[in-house]
Amino acid sequence: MTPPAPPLLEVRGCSRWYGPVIALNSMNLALGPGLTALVGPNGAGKSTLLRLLTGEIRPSAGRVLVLGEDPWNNPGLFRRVGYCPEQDALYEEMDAPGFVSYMMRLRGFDPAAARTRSEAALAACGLPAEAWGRKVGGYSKGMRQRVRIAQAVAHDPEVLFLDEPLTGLDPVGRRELRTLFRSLAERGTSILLSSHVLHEVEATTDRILLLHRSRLLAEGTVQEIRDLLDEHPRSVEVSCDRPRDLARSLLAHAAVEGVRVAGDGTIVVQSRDPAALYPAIVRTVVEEGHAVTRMESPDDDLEAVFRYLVRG
Amino acid sequence: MPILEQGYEPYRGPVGGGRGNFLAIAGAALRRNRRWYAWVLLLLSLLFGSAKEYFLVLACYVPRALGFTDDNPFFTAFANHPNLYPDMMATQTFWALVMAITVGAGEIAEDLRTGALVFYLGRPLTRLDYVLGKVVSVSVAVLLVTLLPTLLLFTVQAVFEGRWEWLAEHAAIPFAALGYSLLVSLFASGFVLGVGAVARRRRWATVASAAVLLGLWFTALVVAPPTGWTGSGMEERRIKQALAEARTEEETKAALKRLSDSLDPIGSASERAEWRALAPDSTLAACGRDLFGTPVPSNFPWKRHWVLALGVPLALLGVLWRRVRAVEIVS
Amino acid sequence: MDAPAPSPPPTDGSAPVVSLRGIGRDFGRVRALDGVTLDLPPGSVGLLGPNGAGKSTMLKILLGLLPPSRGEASVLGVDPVRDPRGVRRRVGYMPEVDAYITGLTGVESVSYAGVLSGLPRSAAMQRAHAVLHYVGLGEIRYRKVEEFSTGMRQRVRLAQALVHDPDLLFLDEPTNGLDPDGREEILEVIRDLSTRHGKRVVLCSHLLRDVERTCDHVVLLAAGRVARQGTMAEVRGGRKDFLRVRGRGESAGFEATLRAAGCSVARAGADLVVGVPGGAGTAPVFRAAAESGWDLRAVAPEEVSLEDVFVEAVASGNGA
Repeated sequence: MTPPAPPLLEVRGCSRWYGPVIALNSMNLALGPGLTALVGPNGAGKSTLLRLLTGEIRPSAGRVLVLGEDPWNNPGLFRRVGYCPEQDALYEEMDAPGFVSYMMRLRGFDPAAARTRSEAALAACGLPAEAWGRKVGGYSKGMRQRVRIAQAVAHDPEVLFLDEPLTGLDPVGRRELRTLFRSLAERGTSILLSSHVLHEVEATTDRILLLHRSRLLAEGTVQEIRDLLDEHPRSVEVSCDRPRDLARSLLAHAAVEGVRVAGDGTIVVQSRDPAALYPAIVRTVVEEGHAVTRMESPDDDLEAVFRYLVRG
Repeated sequence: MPILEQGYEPYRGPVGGGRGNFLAIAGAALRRNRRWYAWVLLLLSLLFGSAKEYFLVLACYVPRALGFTDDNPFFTAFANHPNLYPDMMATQTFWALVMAITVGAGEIAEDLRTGALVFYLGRPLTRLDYVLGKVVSVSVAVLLVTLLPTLLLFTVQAVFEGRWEWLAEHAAIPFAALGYSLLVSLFASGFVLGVGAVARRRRWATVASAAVLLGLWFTALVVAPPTGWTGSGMEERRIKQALAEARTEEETKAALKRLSDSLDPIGSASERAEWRALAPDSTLAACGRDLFGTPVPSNFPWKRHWVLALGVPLALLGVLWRRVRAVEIVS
Repeated sequence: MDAPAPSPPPTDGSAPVVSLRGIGRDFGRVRALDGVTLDLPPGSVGLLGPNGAGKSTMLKILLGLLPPSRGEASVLGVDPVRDPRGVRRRVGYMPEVDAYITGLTGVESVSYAGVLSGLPRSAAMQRAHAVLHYVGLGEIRYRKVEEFSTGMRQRVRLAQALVHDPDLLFLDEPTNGLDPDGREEILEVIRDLSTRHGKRVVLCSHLLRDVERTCDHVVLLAAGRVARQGTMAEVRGGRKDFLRVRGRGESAGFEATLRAAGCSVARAGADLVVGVPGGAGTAPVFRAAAESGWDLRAVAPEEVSLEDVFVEAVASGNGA
């Protein structure tokens, strides 16, 4: 194993405002290799952060370092960084290999290398071969998205920024691209991708950055963030054959704050101490021999975490 | 008192058959075109399109009404000339086309850009409602420039004349004005909507149709410049001489009649008159003279102006009809 | 001027809302739809399919905007080929793409939509306000639609589809591009419409999770044909005797205990998929957790996600 590498991305006390409007407020953050998802409601500062990291705009205060360098006004850095912005902008008159190899030539590859790289990237992004000869202007949304991602990955960047890369794709395309991102991340690329579709984020990556009100609200793996929520009240739904008996037994435990019988054999158990609640449920079920069909917490997935943290 | 639900409520009121839908579409188009420059253009169109005739008529009747007994023969001759109204509408035609371009050229392009076509076609209406609505919206703008000032002037003149006989004698004028205005409306809306539908941006549609109009207009101007006179240069000199030498009132009147007879805003008397047909306003104005019952003497053969004035807009509306298909929406 | 009173929605709750018999449509030599026969039941139906599967062609046919090349269609008992206006009078269509008219405010564009659907002007205005409230657009409704954000425009489109109180709603990608909160709110509105207000909903979406949580029925199109259809439970199937298990902490001891009890254990991301011997239910899992002291957090029957069904159906459809 290699020794722990210095962070590929670093944001130090970074803020950005537009006139009186603040888009990003004293952000601190360091990212290594792997796939990190950037989530947050609209207007939380996701796009601003990506634009700072790609050198499109300059921080109003603080510093941004990508691969140890300041991205602002640093075209040299762009040979090592890939970026797929949210805006759907392509050269409509070019065909896909032409467009991607043009972007590669801008990054300093000679024509032959640009061509091979772009073709390899388009194939990896799953652009159907029969579309290669056609003009980009006539592509469907999914195909355009693939071209835009190919353009961002064709030069094997060390760091890759993707702003809402799956928008408009059909489920097959979404799955293919998620697999592509994961395999890129496994090869050591650092990927920062913003997304609104939380259950997909959950399936794609384990590391998230949650932005809210221009600040970093939570950072870590989904599991870590979920564990933090152990300190907060939650409810657990249990479906079983004798719900009222189970409810009565559970009420005897100190960890249980309340039980509601919800009908169709389901009870909702409320607690302020999840760490003590779950063992209590397990013990009761085993000791009294309830036939449980399902035990789940509606507060347990990323969407619930998001709702909890963002809505407060 | 019950606690009323704030959520979704069903609708139990009447539902119409949607037969007046094209009027609603026209209304929406007009409402969005109520911009400041449309009003400025309307003012300019009225000024350049109708001011001359208003001046002639007022200069003829106002002194009379104020009690100056001696009529000015010049104004009297012009104000009562059969070409007063057709010539006014000929000038208005150019401005009506400019107005139509400003108001209507971007309509379809804008609807294609913002997906308004999808909005419309998801409603219980047909392509015909849509196209008709747009035609009506352009037509209203055209009628503001052509029919409205013409009818107003006719009313003013009728009031000054104050005789039923006069009204009976000239009763055909409002009808001819209406017919001609409708013809111009059809031409203008077909022209701007058809040419404009080719573009996908309001600005380009406007530029394209303005370029086509001005291109045709200038080509006609260069190839077949209007002389301003139906007759030759000799005729012009003779009329001016007759005017200068006129001693009696009758002589003056006769000279003025000859003068206004030979005025030709359409350019039908130019050396290559057939090329005047290139300028849409001339072509339309020639139809207008037919409608007002004072056909241009040496005009285009076999009524070509009618073929153009009706054929071109219908063909261009056909372009629009193809462009507004459901196949392209709901993608 | 008023049409004969709109016929009430079919009183028989189970009559098909949309019924297609051998519907086909060609564009030149391309066969967009190839003999689709289906009955959409009342309630909410997810219409799924990859790009180019024929979903939009089908929507166009159902809205009476495009005649089919073959076959017969009926929407709420109305033939969309013979009476396209009649269909669109009773159907609300929320397009996927922006569909607004420049210069109109939010409330104006919704009431305009109502007027075009045959509502008297004043009724249209009242309904526009009520419906905009219902979809969650507040004071912003008095601003022009072109100034709206993506989410607000989506709400305006939904309000436009609802303003004439249609019996059937076609919603094309209603949650595309929304943030999680916005998406949840829109889905909540859709669920409310279908469960409490008796609206029949056809929902097209690429976000299968949204469909899973909103629809009772699924129709999956692939390559112009119906690849799968049925209730959500039928289509997703579920793997009998498999459980999805989630917990905290090191699970090696728990897994060993389970295996000793005759269960199979496989990892699936952060979760475990446990195969239990027939009929045992979740009992072995609870027992193993109690014995090994593992912090068990969730147990539920393992379900096949709609995405798995989708990807599999499309792959087999293309192979055929």
